[in-house]
Amino acid sequence: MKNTWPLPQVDETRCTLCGLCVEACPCHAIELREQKLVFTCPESCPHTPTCAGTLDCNHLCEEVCPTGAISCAFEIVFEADRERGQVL
Amino acid sequence: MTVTVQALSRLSFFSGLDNDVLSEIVPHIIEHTFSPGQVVLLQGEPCQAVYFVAQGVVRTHKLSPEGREHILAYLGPGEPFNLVPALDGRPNLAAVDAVTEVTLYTIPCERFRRILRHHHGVAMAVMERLAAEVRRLSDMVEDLALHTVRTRLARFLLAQADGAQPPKRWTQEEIAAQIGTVRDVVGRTLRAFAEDGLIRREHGRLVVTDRAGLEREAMMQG
Repeated sequence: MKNTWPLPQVDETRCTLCGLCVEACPCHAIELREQKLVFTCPESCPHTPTCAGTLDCNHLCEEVCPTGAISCAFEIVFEADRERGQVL
Repeated sequence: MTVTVQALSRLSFFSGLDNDVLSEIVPHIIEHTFSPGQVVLLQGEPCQAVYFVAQGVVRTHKLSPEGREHILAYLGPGEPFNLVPALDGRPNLAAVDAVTEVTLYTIPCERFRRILRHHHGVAMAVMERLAAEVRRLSDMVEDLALHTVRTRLARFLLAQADGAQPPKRWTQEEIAAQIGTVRDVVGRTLRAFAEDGLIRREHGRLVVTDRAGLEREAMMQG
């Protein structure tokens, strides 16, 4: 199955630009630019398949966000089924 | 666009009905399409019609006055919704919105009641659907009232991995709305499951690594 996972999604109506996610991201993939949260180097975000996959960020940006503005969507699979699943 | 008897018979709700009956129903069906995220129905509004999903996926959900959401179900092709208000004449029970591009067939309430009075097969299909719905909602009440979030989340993860509902990518907030809790609690519980070696988060996936362990969690009483 082709990987097409999106970057973490940001709900700008909830984001207070507190910068916690910027501080927490171990890959330095997030920046605040012109009053906006930006994933500056998507290739550095381990949530995406382009990452080398050596770093386990535990989706810290989502975890630390106090307003729930960041979401890292995922499909749910059994270990053995992971290459078979199809999502919407 | 006109709905045909063939198109209607492909939907599981109608598949057991004779073509003669379907031919009488077809002229009263109106087809609607919705884009992802578009609102189909608002909770509390007067009931206008019964809906059948022809293509795509919708979700039904309840909203608290504070805006907290509890998802009742994701419904795919062949499944009806808004049956209860169409039968009792009271306002819509729940809000419904489109998850994907959706095609819906609708029948106005008064017309639907008339069809029920004249066609035993349709009435039976409605009763079977409502019986299944009572059973499912009863299980949901049991889950919410008697089980911990840890158990409910374990059950949810197993059901999703098993393909019990239309597959989709979930956010923690959506899962919270589905199992009756809040996002932070889902996040904490997922972390605890990961620390216990039951699951693993990776690129856009949550992998159940210890199915037997998660099933033990799912059987625990609250």
